[in-house]
Amino acid sequence: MRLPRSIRWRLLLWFGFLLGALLAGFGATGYQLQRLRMVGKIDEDLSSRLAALGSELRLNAGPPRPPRPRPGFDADMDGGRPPRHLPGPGAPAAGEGQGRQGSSPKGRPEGPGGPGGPGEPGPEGFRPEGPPPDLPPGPLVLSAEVRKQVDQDGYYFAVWGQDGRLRENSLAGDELPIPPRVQRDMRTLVRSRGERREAYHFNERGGGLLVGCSIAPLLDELHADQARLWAAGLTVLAVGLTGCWWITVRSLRPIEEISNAARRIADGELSERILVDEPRNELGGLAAVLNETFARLDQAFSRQVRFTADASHELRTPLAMMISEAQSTLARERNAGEYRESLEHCHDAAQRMRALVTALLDLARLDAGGGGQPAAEIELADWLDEALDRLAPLARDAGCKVERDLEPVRVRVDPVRLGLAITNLFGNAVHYNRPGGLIRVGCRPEGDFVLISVEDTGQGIAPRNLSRIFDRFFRADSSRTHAQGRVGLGLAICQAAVLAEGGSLSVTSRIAEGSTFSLRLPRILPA
Amino acid sequence: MKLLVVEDEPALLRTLGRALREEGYAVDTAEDGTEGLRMAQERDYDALVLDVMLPLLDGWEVLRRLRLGKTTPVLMLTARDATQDRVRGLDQGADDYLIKPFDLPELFARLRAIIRRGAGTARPSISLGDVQLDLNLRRAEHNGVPVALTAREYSILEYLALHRGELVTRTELYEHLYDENSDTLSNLLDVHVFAIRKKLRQDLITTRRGQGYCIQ
Repeated sequence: MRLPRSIRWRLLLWFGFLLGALLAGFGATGYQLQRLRMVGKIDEDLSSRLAALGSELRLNAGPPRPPRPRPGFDADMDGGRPPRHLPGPGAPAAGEGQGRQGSSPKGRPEGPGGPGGPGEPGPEGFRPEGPPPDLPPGPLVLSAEVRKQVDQDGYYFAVWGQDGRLRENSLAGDELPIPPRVQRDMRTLVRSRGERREAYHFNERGGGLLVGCSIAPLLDELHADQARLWAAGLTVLAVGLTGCWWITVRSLRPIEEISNAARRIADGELSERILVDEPRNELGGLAAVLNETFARLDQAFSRQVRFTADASHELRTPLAMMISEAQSTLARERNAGEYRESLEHCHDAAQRMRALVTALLDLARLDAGGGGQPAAEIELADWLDEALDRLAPLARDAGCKVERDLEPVRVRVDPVRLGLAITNLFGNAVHYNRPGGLIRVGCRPEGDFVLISVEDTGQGIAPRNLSRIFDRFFRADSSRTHAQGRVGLGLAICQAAVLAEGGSLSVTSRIAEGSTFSLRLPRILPA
Repeated sequence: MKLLVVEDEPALLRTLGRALREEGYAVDTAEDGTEGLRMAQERDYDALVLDVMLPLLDGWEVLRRLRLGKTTPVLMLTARDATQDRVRGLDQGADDYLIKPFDLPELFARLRAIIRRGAGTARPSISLGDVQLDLNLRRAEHNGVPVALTAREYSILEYLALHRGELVTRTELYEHLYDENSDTLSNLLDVHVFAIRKKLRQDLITTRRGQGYCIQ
């Protein structure tokens, strides 16, 4: 069978299963105990009647014997119950079989009506009152008192001779099979036979006595008990399941709320949050974590939206310039100078778009996590030296001097990404430098990191802007000066590249003195 | 007609200025929000072309502050095309909205429309008896015959026609028809008015000596 998918139903099912098993265990145990107790009582009663019968028979059969105390018998009786119906002083010597007292009940025959059951023999302590002498032939003579005990009120008895022949059976007519006899076992045993319970014993010569009674009333009572137990168990089960349903519904309600909120968020309402009633429990914690995640998603999403809007704005503006310029110029005949000027404007706009598209592609690649090349282990000082050789003309054109302070150190990086970062940082240092300024590029080990610093002697960055200069399309000067292809993405690209390399980028700056960008990369320690 | 174009992109501003002047408008320009707002508040422009992304004061703010005192028609120019941006712009009192990159003919058409509505007429033509002005084609007809007017002459005629029945002072005409790039001598106004009268009808424009002009 397939389990239902709903957690609520599963919980209910499992709980019902467990509760049912527990109740069944309890019920069965209770029922068994009750049964054993009742059967035990009957067995005890039967044994005492059997003893009475035995002693009566002995009494009648043999010559009177002197009375003797029977300490063993008394000691055997449990609970100090008075030995009813026992012919006290006239009892025969109780010596024989004494040594077997408490012997193992192995070999005891089990009654056909089911196992004798645990805890059965109260009667185990009983012993036959000695071997009766051979029974006199003819009908047995029993005193009225004994007969009343074993032959009335539903009791019956049977006697077998030494030859195993049934001498008397008070159940006139009903077949009464002789119990199996284990050689020389003279203990009192009990058996169940259909709805009857019978106690019996054999003397050493093989003669047997049996006293039995119907246990039908007892079985009826047990059945009634069973029915009551079933009823009680089912009631408890129903109550338990109802309670479990209530508890699961209650405890799953927050989950439902969470999933509803999550669904609304998935549908695009990113500002939606889960209401947390109980922030300290497990679900409250989960909701808080989810809320935090949603907030981050929301932020990332709005950042993305803003970035897309900014990017489209930045792309649309040069497009607008080109289209307007072309349309305006083509609207009428112009002279060569005007055409030239117009083409120059279009060219500028196109160049700016190219810079922007390049920057956007760089960013998109970095965002996507892909690099141009697999990471390689490089000697940073040499690599920077070459890179600076390539970048030097930029500084020369701007009239800036470049100082190098490179210590040998090894790093594992994607050279394309590092190249992006260095080119952008160097470009910034040139652009924002004062004329004739200085650019100092250094690298050195610093703990587990390699520090690359790019220092300029430019205008510096206002403190309020320091935290925002890495934002995409942020420009410290607010006015858009797009000279030299500056599109407001350089530092964002640097940071994305450095983060992708597992490093960090930070900046310190003093107004009118210059800024220092510090780029840290994980270092390869010399072996 | 005199326009103020506020746009922080120097190249685009230059191009727009040239194109609009060639369309016969007098054009003032501003490169940031603060200057743009100051100019728009000081003078009565016939229309404003306002970029949204401006340094110092963005387009929304310029528009909001301008609307505290002026009803100058405003055409917003922006690269943001989200619906909420357009709705916001129109709700804040912009008369129209154009998204970059735009086509110049569309910009001209939208400008003509908001100027017309600003002057209280939605129809694209004005009838002055036997003289018809086509505001879209910027053309005048006399008894159904097109009359060749220079851009300046047409502008003067159009302005007077849009303010029909009102006295238009010489200063007002200067303010609306000449921009900071024009270095026209004042008596040229009379020359233009004389030419218009000659080409169309002598009594079309009344001169109030020492005050200004008027079309009845």
